[in-house]
Amino acid sequence: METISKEKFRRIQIDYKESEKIARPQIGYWQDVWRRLKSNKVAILSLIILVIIVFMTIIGPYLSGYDFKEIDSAKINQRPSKENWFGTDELGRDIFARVWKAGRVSMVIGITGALISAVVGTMYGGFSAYFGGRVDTIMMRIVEILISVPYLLVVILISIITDSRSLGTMMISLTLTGWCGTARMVRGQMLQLKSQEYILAAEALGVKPLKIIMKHLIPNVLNVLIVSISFDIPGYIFSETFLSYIGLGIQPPNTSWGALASAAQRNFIFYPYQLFFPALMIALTMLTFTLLGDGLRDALDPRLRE
Amino acid sequence: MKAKKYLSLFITLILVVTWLAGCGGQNGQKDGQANQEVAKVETGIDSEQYFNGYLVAEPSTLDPSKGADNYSNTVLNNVLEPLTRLEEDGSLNNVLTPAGAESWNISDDGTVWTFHLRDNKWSDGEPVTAHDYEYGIKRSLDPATGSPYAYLLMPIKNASDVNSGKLPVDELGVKAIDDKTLEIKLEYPTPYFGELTYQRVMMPQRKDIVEKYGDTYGTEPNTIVYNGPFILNEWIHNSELKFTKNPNYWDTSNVKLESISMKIIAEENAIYNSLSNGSIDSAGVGSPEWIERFSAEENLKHIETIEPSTYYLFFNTNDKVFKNANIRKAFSLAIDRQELSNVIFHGINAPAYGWVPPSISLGNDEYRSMVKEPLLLLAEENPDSKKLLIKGLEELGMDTDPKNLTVKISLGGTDQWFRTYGEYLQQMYNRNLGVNITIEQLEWPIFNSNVMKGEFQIGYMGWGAEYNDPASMLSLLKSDSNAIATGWKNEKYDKLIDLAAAEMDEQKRLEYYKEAEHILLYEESVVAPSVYPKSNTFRYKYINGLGVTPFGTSGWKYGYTQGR
Amino acid sequence: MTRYIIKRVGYMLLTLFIIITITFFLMHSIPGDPLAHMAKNLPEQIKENYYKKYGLDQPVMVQYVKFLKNLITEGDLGQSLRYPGRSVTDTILEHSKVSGRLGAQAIIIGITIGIILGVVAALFRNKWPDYLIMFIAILGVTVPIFIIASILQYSFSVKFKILPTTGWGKVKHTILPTIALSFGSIATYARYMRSNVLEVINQDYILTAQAKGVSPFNIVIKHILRNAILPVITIIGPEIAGIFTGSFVIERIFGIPGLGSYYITSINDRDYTMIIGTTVFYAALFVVAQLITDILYGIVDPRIRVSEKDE
Repeated sequence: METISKEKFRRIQIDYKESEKIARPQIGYWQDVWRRLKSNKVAILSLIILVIIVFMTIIGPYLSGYDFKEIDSAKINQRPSKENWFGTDELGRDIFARVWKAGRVSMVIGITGALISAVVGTMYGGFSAYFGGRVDTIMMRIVEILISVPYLLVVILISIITDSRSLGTMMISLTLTGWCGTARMVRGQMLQLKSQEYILAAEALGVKPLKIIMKHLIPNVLNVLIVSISFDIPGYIFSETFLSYIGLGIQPPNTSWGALASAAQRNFIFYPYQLFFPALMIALTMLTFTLLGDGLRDALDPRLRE
Repeated sequence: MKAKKYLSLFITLILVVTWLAGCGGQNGQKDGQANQEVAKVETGIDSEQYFNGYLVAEPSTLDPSKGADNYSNTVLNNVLEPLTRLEEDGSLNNVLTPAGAESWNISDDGTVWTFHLRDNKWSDGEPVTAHDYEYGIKRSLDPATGSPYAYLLMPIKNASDVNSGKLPVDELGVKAIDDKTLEIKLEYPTPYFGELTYQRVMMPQRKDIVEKYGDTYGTEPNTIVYNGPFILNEWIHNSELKFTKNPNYWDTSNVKLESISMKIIAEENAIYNSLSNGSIDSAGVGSPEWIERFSAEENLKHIETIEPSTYYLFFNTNDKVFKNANIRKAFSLAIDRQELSNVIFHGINAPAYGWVPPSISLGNDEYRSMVKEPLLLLAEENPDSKKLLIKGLEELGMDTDPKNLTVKISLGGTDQWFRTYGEYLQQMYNRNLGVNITIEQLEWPIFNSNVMKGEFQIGYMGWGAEYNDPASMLSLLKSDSNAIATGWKNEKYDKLIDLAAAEMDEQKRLEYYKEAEHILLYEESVVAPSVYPKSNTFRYKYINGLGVTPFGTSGWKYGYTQGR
Repeated sequence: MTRYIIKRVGYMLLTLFIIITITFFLMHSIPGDPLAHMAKNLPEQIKENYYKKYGLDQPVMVQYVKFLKNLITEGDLGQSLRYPGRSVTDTILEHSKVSGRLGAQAIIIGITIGIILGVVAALFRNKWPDYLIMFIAILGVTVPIFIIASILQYSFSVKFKILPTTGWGKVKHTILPTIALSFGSIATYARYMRSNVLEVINQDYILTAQAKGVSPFNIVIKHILRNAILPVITIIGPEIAGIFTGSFVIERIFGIPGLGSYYITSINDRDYTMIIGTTVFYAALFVVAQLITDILYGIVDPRIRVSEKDE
């Protein structure tokens, strides 16, 4: 049996400074979110597809060499071919150029709409919950009124009163009551958080209100907010589609995916490709936004932090 | 959706009896078998007689004095018996035929019409009397009823004063002399009064029933009594109407159909799908793809009809740009009508270079076969419409570069068809004249209101002729008519129309009309006709005896099926 | 609780009053009138008689007061202008029943399938069943409903001829529209359920239950499902209001006599009384549904109730 020589041992001091050291590298909340998002293949794939779609709506209309509104009576309703990659429509216009041009409008409507809702809704809901009491009651009553006016009536009235079908008018009419849902949700979330134990603990430990809001409330609200944005963007794109179907869509020559799809719906049995491309774009955008939203939700949830 | 478009386009819905909205037929060249040969085909008809049709929208009310829509007109034609009906003869001309009235006389001065009624019964067994007709007409003109169609009855003596409340309703020139004789006195001789006798506002109404149900008269199948060929049994609002044969009807032996169902289908594709799978027996088809598909179907027959109407752009002559005739001419000539009818109407409609549509005749000849379309001449003389535009801009002292001119076109419809049409006009004018066009797609009520207020530059509408005479189209542009709000006034034109109305000599009338149309289109270009619409109806071959002309009011009375 | 409910009902009436007022004046201020659908410029006298008959000749303020009076004293919403003689109240009741039946069928199917799919997806988080379910669920809402409806109609009634194209009255008429309508709910509930379950799974009491040796099945049913389903109530509320409002697109394509298509038509026709009546009906439904949701939520989640009571 071998003996261990005493020389192999050495006395060391206890380093009190090291006692608080964290072995894992410290990473911030957002770094962590990104790290977790990266590991979610579905979300990343969705993000890539989305970036491509957005990129194409910017440059796509110029790629095919046709202007999106150029009418050519000589080639009406042609199938996809070498010249017209996605075929032509009932006026002989190039569908490829039209789909991407339309995508711009749809994307702008979706993203701006969702952002307006999110910003207005968060501020409104946040204020309401923060002040509480009478202010909260009054603010919530107003939301209740706005939210119970039928959405369609609002849209139709706005388009009639402003006498316009521009992108701006559409944004106003779509978001006028659209933010109410977000406001309620944010308020609800805030109220719930306010009564959470860790907030209570933070308060008891003397953490400043601003820090509580930044460190605890915002990340927690952000998580639901991002999920709601991921619902809202396709939601707005969809609302626009519906408006186009009932004839209240964006003014020509501008067009949107909804307008293209509802134009093609009439003859989809005969020219399925005219419906296919705009419908595919709508579906793809909805799908990727939703999947990305799911991924973000998981990544953003502080409780799922590893 | 197409059918709805027609609804808004056709200003004059009155006589256009689209019992299957937009599905009227006419001069049915393709429909070889003459339609009214009821007697000949007695043998071999199906033992079960039923018909499935559709309406594009819910009928407003069956109160003859109140509603004002095509759909309730269609229903009323089949459930009430007007004094007369327009029926098709063997050569598909419409003939005023005795219906509720067995015969009628007109006084020598043309101001007294006396109708002799036949024996007929209401669905509750009561006899139909002249008092019922008298009451119906009086009720329509009573200001308290608020009837929109009452204006049709203005030729009747004292009608205007009664309608404005200046005279009591009793003073109206309508009187039941006895149970079987109805006498109508007119304010002035009215050659077309016969055409009013089958309108809803002259249909018979039962005083006791009207008073019993008050405002709800005619809103449900059981709040009205019937004396027409059919009875409405069931009315699922906005969904379906079910009719059965009226056993009390005077001519019931000639009515073959035992039951009829009218579904309400608004969506165009749903209508085509329903025809494809046989859930409806007949449909008006507006889509070229579907026309092609249905034409290939062996068990469907195709009825193609030129409608007596014109689609047109019209200019606001009080507008600072369009007060200039050369600019109007330029905008009219710039329309490539052949391309328009190919691209927008898919070759279904015919390009229009005149104001009076084909199928309108003067005397025995078609007007269009005698008068060359004025725009053809204008186009020959001015091959370059852009030059006209620049000339006009110079006359106005405006910037002569078309690139700097922006013009707004207002459309009275928001559906997809109007959208495509607007996009086409925009591109077409930009290409042919170099001008910028903005398209204003408005809901019909707003469009209508803007146009009437003169708040537009160029508008687009369609007009269906009310009666078979060029005057029905040409009188619309008289200065005292507010039918088409162009704001245009032309004394010479007014005079020509007045002269023609009083002229008995057909040759002279033709000359007047010809000159008037020349002024309207060649000299002034107040309106820019674009196409003459056609309608395409597909019917299963087993359906027989239903009228094909857009004017006819025989409805389902003579319909029957054979070999269903 | 009673005081809270009384208070809420009070607010509800106030909300309705404001909505009625806004709608009334807005509708009367936009161009066009109920005669416009005739597409014909009628003689003045005819218009005058018509306006007089329906009280439209009076100043809007007078009409408004009269409308309010009839509504409050008799619960009467007036007579339709486009369909003379029909009572607005009866029309709404008749058509909302149709929309209600269809909507209820769709929502029941939607909730059932949605919840099941959502739970399964959450339990298999980031595994293939999760991906598959979410993909299918999301796919259902990514295609606009008019496309789904058109395709369903063409396939089942034209190609295979097994279901009617349009119509109402029999069960077979409701099949296609119900399917088309339920796509949306399935996806919504599946997604909500999935995130709720995920949230609950991470709660301490689940860990506790697991530690105590409760069987996985019981954990899912007794703990996870019960807690995860609560937030779903908040979104069911508005949706229940929504089922009576009907879907314009579905009703139009399948020729269903629901309230949704009626509403759009009445706006186009400027049928003032119908528009206001329907708007009031929608708003009332929504507000009541909201109240019920809040009360339910209050009962279910004590924390919310406390904070509401604090007011």
